Amino acid sequence: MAPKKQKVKKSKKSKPAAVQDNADQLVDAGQETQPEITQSETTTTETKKKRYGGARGPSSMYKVVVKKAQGKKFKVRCNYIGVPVGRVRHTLQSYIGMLARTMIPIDIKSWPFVERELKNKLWMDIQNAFKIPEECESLVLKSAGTKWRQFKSELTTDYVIPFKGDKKKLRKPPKKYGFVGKDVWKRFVAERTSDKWMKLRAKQSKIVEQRKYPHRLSRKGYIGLEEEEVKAGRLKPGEKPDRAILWKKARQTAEGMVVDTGLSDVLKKIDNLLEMKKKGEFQPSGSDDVLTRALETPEHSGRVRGIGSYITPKLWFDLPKEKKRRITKSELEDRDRIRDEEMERTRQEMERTKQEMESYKEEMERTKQEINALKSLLSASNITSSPLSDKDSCPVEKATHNQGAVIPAAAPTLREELIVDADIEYVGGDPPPPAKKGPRSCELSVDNIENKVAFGTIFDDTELNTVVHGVPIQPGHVRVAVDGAIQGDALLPVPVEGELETVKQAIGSMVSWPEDLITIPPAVKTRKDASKKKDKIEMRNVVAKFKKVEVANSVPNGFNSLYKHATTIMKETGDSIAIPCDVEVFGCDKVIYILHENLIALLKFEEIGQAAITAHMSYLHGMIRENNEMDVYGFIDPGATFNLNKEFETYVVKRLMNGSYDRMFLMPHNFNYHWILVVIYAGEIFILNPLSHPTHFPHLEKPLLSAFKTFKAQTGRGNTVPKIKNLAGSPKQPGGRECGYAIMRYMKDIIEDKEMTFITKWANKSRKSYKMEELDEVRVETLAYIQDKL
Amino acid sequence: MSGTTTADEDKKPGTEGGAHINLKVKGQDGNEVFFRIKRNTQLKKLMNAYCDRQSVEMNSIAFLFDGRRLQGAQTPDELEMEDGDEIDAMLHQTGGGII
Repeated sequence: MAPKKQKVKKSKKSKPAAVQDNADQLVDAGQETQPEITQSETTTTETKKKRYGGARGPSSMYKVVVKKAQGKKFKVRCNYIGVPVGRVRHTLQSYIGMLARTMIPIDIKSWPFVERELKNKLWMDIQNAFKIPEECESLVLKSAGTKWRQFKSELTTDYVIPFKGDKKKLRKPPKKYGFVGKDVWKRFVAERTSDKWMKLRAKQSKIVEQRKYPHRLSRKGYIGLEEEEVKAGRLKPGEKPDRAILWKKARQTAEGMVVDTGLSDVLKKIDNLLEMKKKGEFQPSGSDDVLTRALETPEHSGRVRGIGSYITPKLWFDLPKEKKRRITKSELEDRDRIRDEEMERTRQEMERTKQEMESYKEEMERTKQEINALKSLLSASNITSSPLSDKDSCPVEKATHNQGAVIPAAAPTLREELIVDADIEYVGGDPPPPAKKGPRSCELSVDNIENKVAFGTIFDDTELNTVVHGVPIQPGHVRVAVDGAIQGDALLPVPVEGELETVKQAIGSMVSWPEDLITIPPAVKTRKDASKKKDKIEMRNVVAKFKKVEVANSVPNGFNSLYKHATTIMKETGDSIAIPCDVEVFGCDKVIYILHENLIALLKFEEIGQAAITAHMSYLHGMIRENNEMDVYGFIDPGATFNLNKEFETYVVKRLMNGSYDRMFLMPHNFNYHWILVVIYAGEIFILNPLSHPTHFPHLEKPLLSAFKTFKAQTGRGNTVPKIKNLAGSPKQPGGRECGYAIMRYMKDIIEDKEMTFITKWANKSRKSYKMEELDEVRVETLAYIQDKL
Repeated sequence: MSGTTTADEDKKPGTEGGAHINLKVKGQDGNEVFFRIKRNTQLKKLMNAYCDRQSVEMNSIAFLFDGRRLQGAQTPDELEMEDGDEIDAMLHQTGGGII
């Protein structure tokens, strides 16, 4: 078949180019005119070619490793659909490949069988070397899986199948890939030479042979193609292209020629359909689009043809326009930056308005003098005619205007006017305080106060608030200048027909805005004050803030003031709530410090740390003491056991020695941002995990068992070590972040369970999960306990 | 950064009189690490050195002095610390269940 032949030619062409052989370049140049001869010549140079030095080994991605060691990171940019783009993506992919080859043992049957922990480790490594959004985890792991499988397949075809039956040759892994390890290699070879595998291999090879239209993008891929199109201006950045066009482009040779006849038929069909689509005769819906019609085969599950890896059908076909698109981290950061810039600008503007105020003040002073002169002149000449009043009202009006006074509607006599003015002179002796009235920076929202769409400056002197763009301001509305947009596409609450309709259009102009949708951030002012007159004002501000704090919904009843305390006073002063624990609780003197963030997390039902959990343990200890069950239950401090080092063992042994053999010890443990509970009871170790996976924690089990062994040896109970049991039936956490609360609930349930039935009750796997109310109960208990200590 | 601090730490005490003080950082596992630091050096340095030593990230640890959170920009002078004072290091260790 034709494509295969082309592939051969291509590989020959690319190899000499890499060596940078002059002769080959000449041959390349001549290729266009005399293709027949070229081919033969290329083959001859190929055989003649001599290598100097050793062959290239597998890529070790030295440049990434070095940068990582320096603590620097490559920055990964993602496109509108969340796929890495730009030059770094190649580095990323190569590095993923390197990690997959070296980190994952090849004797594992397939990618799903690779332990989650190993995958996490790989992802962590990637995160250390690349600045990459969290959302990319699945994408990176998917890529790692592919690369790992490709590596295994490469080993099979190049190093196993050719030497099948040759035991000597298959004894060791190829020199190049020595890192695979001898034992792992042996198991790998055994698997790959088995009959079962050979059957599977034959079957899969047949399937691959059916592939009709291979793409010609090589490393560029569809992602690179899309980038190229954008660069060439054929595609707008962020626009979703028709995949049929990409598919077509991916199958053209460099000269834009299409050789294969079968392919040209499909391409013609695509062109026709595209034309029809343009005219509106063909309406693509979901996956039934131009490409599917042209290829006449349905879409496979799990991938999308003509668009590249990592994009799932759901992501591609269920993506209505722009609304549902993912926000990448860089976009968020951009938004933040713009926001900061806007804030800075508003601040400067405020400064300017202040200065303007000053100049107005001077002007007023001048006008005042003028008026006084006029007054004396008037009283001298006693003129009351109106024409003069018209003329003279100008400066007066200016003055009143500036002071925010009422402009007299009907023209009274000049004398009256002057008296009015005299009154103002008294009040206006010092100009109106600019802080209270006048321009202030603010945030503008639409629909509800949370939905902020723009930054602006508010002008709420009611006297000036009469007309905006020739339209009188409605009651309850004020005049604002829009300085910058948060959501440029949001519609204005009071649009100016045909001129200003969206926030973006309104930047730099005045619009009217409902008063109740404006927030005035106090931050700017307080910060200034703080720097001027330190503590006193700071304290006052804190108190003022304390009163203003809006309590979040998730805060339980009765803890509003605690929440306010945490968000203001504790936050500003860095103070903590200290809970002293005596030796009985954790086996050593300890003070639990509850910091403001710990408290807020607990109040808002968010992920909690060891501070909250130890506080709850201290609370439970009080309960145990009251019930006289001190010899039944004991605790092991998670703060002292997070580090699984030597001290861990000594501490755990010390704790276990404390009390009888039947004393139950509870030890919460944080594993990779996840809380689990370890229960040691009557010579057995149980693990309670609020998630259904993973079930094994090797890093913890090893030191734990070793500690247990030491304990048994020291108490003369022999050195048999129990198997760690996973209580799979323990109730699960209802959501994605309540594991800390679930742990607290476990401890409470276990302590309240007098018959110790939990071992049998929770032994068998179940899908039961805690209700939010049950978890809320322990949360409120802990909060009450902490509040007590305050 | 850690290099300079450890060098400070290794210097024999008493050479510069009151300019330096010794501080003890106590971890939650009861481990104590001692640091010698100039009175007007920002505590950021000490925190960095401690985190390096324990190979944990800076933002995952809270440092407390007399129950109060320490800021990196503060100095022992500002806090009126005395020789031999103890700083508590607390690991946040939050957990939600994303695994």
